[in-house]
Amino acid sequence: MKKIILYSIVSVFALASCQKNMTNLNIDTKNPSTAPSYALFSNAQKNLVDYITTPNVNSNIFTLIAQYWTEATYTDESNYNLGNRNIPQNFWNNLYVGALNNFQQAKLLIPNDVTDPAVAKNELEMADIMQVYTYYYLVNTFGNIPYSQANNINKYPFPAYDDAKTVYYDLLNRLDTCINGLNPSAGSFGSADLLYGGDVNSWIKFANSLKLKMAMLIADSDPTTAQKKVNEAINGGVFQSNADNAVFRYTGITPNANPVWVNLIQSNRKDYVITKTLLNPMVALNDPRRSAYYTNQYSGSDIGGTVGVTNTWNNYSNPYFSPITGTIVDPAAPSILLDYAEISFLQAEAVERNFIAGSAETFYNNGVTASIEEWGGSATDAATYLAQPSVAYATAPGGLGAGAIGSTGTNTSTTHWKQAIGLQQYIAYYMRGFDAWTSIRRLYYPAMAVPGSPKSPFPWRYTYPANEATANGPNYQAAKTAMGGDDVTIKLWWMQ
Amino acid sequence: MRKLLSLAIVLLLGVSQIFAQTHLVKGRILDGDGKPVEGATVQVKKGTAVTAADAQGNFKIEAKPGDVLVFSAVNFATKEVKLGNETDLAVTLTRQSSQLDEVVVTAMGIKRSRNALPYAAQEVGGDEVSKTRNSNFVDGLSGKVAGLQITQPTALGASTNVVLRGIKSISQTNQALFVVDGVPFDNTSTATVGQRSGQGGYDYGSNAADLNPDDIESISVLKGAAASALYGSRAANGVILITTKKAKRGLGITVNAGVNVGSYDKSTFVKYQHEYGANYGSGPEINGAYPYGYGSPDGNFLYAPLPQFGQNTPQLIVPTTEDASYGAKFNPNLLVYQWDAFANYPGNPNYGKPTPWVAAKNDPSTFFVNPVSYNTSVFIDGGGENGTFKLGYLRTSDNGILPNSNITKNMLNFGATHNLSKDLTVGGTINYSEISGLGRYGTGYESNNVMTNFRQWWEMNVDIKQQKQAYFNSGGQNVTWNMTDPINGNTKPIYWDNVYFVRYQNYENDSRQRIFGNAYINYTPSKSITLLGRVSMDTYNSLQEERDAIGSVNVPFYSRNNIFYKEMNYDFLATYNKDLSKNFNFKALLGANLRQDTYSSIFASTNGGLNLPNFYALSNSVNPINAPNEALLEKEVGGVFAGATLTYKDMLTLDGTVRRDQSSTLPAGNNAYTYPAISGSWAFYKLLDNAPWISFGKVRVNYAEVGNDAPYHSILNTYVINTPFAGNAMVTLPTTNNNPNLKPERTKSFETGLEMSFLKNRVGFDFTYFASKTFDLITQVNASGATGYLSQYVNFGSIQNNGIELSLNGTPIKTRNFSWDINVNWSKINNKVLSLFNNQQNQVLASYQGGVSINATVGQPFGTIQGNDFIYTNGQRTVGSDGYYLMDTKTTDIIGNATPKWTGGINNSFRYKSFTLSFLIDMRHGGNVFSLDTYYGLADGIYAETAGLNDLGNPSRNSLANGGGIILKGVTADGKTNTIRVDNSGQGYGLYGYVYNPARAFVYDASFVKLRELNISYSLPAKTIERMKPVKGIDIAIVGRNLWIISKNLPYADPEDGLGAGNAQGYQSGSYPAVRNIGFNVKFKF
Repeated sequence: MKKIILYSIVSVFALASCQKNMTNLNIDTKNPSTAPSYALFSNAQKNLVDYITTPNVNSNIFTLIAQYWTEATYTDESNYNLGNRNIPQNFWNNLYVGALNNFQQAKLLIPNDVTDPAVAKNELEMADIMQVYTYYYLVNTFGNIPYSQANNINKYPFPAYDDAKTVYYDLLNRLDTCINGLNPSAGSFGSADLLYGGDVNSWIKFANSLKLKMAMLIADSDPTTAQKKVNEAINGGVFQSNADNAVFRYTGITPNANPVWVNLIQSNRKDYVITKTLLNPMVALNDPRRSAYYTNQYSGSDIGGTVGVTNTWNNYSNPYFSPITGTIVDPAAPSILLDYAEISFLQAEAVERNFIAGSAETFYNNGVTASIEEWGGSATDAATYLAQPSVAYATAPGGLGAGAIGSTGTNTSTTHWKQAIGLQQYIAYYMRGFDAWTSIRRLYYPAMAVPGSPKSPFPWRYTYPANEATANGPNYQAAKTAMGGDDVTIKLWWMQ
Repeated sequence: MRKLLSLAIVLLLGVSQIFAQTHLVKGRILDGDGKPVEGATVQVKKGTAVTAADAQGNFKIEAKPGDVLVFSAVNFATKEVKLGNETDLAVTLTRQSSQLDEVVVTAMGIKRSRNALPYAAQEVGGDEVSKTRNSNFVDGLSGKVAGLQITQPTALGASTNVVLRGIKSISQTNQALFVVDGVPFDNTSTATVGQRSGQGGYDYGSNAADLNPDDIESISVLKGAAASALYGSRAANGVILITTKKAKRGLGITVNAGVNVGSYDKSTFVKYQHEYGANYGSGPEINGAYPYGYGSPDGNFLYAPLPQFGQNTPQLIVPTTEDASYGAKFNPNLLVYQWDAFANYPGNPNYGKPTPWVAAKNDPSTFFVNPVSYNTSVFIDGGGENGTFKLGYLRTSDNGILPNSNITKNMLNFGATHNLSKDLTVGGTINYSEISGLGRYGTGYESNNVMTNFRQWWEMNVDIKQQKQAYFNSGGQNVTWNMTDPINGNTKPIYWDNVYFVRYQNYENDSRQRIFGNAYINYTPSKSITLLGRVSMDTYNSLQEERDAIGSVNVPFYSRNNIFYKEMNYDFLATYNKDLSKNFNFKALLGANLRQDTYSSIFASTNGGLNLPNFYALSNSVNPINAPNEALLEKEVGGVFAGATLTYKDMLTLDGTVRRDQSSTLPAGNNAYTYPAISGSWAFYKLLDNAPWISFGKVRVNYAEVGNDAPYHSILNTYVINTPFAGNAMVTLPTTNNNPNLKPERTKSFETGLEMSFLKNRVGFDFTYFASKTFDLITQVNASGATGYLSQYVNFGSIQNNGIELSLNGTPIKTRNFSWDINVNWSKINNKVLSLFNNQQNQVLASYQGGVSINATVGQPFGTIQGNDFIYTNGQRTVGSDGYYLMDTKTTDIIGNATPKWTGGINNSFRYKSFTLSFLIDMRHGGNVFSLDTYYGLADGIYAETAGLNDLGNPSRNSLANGGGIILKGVTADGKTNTIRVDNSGQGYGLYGYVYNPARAFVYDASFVKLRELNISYSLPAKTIERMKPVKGIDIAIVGRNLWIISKNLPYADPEDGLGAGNAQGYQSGSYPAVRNIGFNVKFKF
């Protein structure tokens, strides 16, 4: 009896410990250890677009910095307070982790999981174009950034920073390689490409248009290269109409709804009002896009908020309603990555800079018209608008900017074409805060108002994420030294 | 405990021959008060007969004249009586204040005499944690054990932080391991990371609270690794060893019935100003107008016609969107349209009417209710020749100070032993508990945490009682004061729901059914060998349901989280115990343990809102629901261990153990780790016969190592599947890079101690010095985002803890009718982060709203609070040329530390005849806490100090032109005292809050002195009881918990409150006030 019990104790124990390989228990059976490259590519595209589209005050405040909106009650970010909500860190992490790393992983997997080498080649180029597009944001937001050692944690757990200018020229070169490498006769991602449904010709146009845009950024610092690249891009074929635009079409159902709708409408909050900086010129010019950009409160009149002070939401024009379908308050509103309007304005500028031949006015008119049509207006609306002397390219004056021009630290441009194109480009870039900010930093027009209680002067760049100082300390310190500091007032290399 | 002791002695004695000519001696064992000493052991000296007294103190034993009977019981001095011819004895035992002669339960349930205990272990009687009738017994340990830091959040049922001897691991748990009757008892918090980092959510409490406090016989706290090493990896944080009650001979029934009433502690809630109402300030006056104001001529009100109320000229309307109180000064003669003018609910006399501009009669403090809670318990035990059993049932119903909050617990436990033969015993216990929560408090920065509203964003003109009326009279509608745009008919909430709507509509509910038990076989093949085989299981199913009703500020939703947990332990333990010679005793043990854990959960939520009102099911989702989030975490740890103890004359003890674990969470080839412990003690008092005033004295020293494994799934990377986009699969890389090269985390610890007692144990102390160093910490470190990951798993760095623990006990007064016992526990821990990953100086543990973070910083105690600081000149705050403070722009200044400098408790117990009065003072000194509540609340002008008079005797909120404003205390850059007066009328937020002050201004000293427990009990005298058969005892008690915070430096809140259990402490957001509890309890024994 005793022995039976004793043996049974021992055998129960022996039975229980008879696990074949305990390490197998540590394999996560609810998350896959392999994934198809196309699914990573799709998700990276969505992550990227979500981050550059969202007006969430915790991650993307470019609409506030570009002074399209100002905060109604909680005015920190409108006053350039980047620290309280770790804005630089959230932006940095979202792009490197959410977008770049997944594009990178897709590139690593494509050669293995796409059998047709021509298709694989196209897919690799597309993923690379997306990376160039993403780096364009990072390098022009921070300056020097990790690039050659980025997104390779096992080899570079502490990535060094590369010089911003070097990075930028490398991006331009990569874009050339991509354009040359795309093969229209072969397929690609198909529907997994959420921008163009895998259409290779569209991607060639997109890449050339991006090249044009990137070339124009260095028009002042390196006009020779800029001119060469602009011409190459145009010869390669840039956007010819709004139909060519790089558009991300949200489905309208969470989590695939437009983040603007999520933050403005779904949240029930009323955090933003339209600024005088945007509203005053639009009113003065009778802009037909006003009804798409904002609505007025019960007063019925257009009233712009003052940047960085408490603006009672009830009393000002605001972005919460729109009679125009498909605009920002629609959960299925599209998000624009690159459009015909900006390509037109950039070409108008290229004419003025003698980079290309042609009529600046025509390009300007094309840009204005494309933008109005993009926002639900008609060709007639555009024509009426352009017929006004205050809008017409030849006669458009400068100085119609914000109520409080100057004293921003901006050496506001006085060149006529910079003002005329700058203002229309600014209006057309509505909801694309980063592009507007970059355009302002490039053309110095329109002038930005001084916020009510600014934490700093107008930011020329973002400070580095707080986490870099601790998690990547020596490299951060080196970058800080190379940049001449880590303040928002430090100009990037291409700025005059 | 007494029964335990007697059982232990029985086992130690073994079997021997039986003398003839014995006869039955019976008797009764009483204490000095004439009360029976239940469970006292009676044995024949140099004989084999042994028995235990029943609940009435009665015993029977076979003995013969001339035998010496030895009577012993825990807390009593042993007494020897030489037997004559009497057959009926009356024995009185003398109570001993000190517990030094006690037998202590140590690892693996092995009992040891104090003399032979070579490491620090402190015992707390079960009564100590059950007498306060707190349904969470863990809270009852606070202040009672030196070196044990218990932190209790103020929210109902929130989880208790339990840390022994300091923080040892950066990102793994530092919570002490609970072991019940030899079996680990899960205490994992199911709170989300978001909840713990202040983003909102619920704290579902500590699972250790699933144990019936009335079933606890004793708690033994094994503080250091040497004491606990046999429990394996998890014991690195110390072990709280719980022994449940063992049945006694005869039948005993104990019934407890109690009721208690709570009330909020006013010193832990906001002190409001009652002079000014809604808005963020009218802005500056420019040429007689307020261009940045709200529209009215004075800038403080909206100004619009209200044709719906027949008003075609502009009217003064309160800006209901402005959740602050920097507005117009109250003036009963001023009539304004307030939120209630726009709320058309039955019985609203103010609909469509302007009302006087006055401070609310009922500020948010009137929101709290005085909850009544109940508890009832029945405990039955019994035993005979061949076995024992016990059966306990406890029901508690705890209500909170917020409306619609309740936690009900039902716990049933059963245990039995049976002697199959004289050397074979089988036994087992099974505990079933069912915990139901309803309306747990929302935490963090979230609209469902009403405290965010009350402490941070509020209008002083809003009357809580009116909000209550609006909610109930409207039939449960979200009629909020914080209307979006009432002028145009949009009365929906903009940021804040009606707080009654929050409590009655946006509530959570949860339940947990838990089964915990074991079955064992104990076999004693010879008198020196015992074999134990045991299988134990701890498993629960938990459901957590959360919701936001239609009409809420948040997107309405319903979510459910189903959690299943199971831990199986298979133990085999062989012990050997032999007296090698007259002076040497040798004990050895050999064991093996296999532990298998499974945690699985499925979380699902509606998407995009709810269709039908008041209906909460996933099917009620507006959009198709996204795939539920599944988790399956499995783990297996196999351990073998051995130990040996050599004792010389019950005076010198040398003890060594070694354990080897193999864990599935570590990479194969690197997953086994062996760790030793060696201890020695010398009970030197045995040599001090010439110093009779020394009753006890022992020194002890030990060294141990413990290894720890890795968290689940931290080796291999896996992808994350996201919701498909228009039919396309969406997959991303994870944001944490796992590490296939992880190795075990190690702790090395050293401890030495001295225990002494004097004057027949009337005074004694126990002093311990300890030092531990943890290295190869397995931590998720922050990575540069540029690597593509936010964090990665690595082994790195080290943390050291050293400190001292001191327990003092004494009986200053002891007479027949009166005694006074005092017990003091004190400990000081010096925690220091020695090194971090790759020579980094800082590791962020958690980043919080307010621009602050909790960190591990090299050279500092764990838990530095970082944010921006003032700029100092000669040690004083510097003001700029505008008269405002200058602030550092860096958010990495060290502005505080969450780790306390020392903790302590003083317990006093007075007994007069049948009355006992005891009280516990619990203290914490040092440590800081950052308050997001004052960070925002001071900027909003709701706190008293934001209004009132300035140094000139004028209202500080007057404009500077009208003699208002404040001169901030500080110096200018050249060191001169500041003389510039600055505005406090609320321009760009108030002067005192976050806009004009760095985070440092909201860091407070978290020290406190609390009257933690107060008990007055009365036992009916034995004479009275004898007439009340079958009742054997009635105890009546008045119990108080958290009655008084005697001293603290954090204004308006309880410094102990935080965001639940976890490594990142020192942050408050939407803190709930402390709750005083006073209760009445009656205990019947049958």
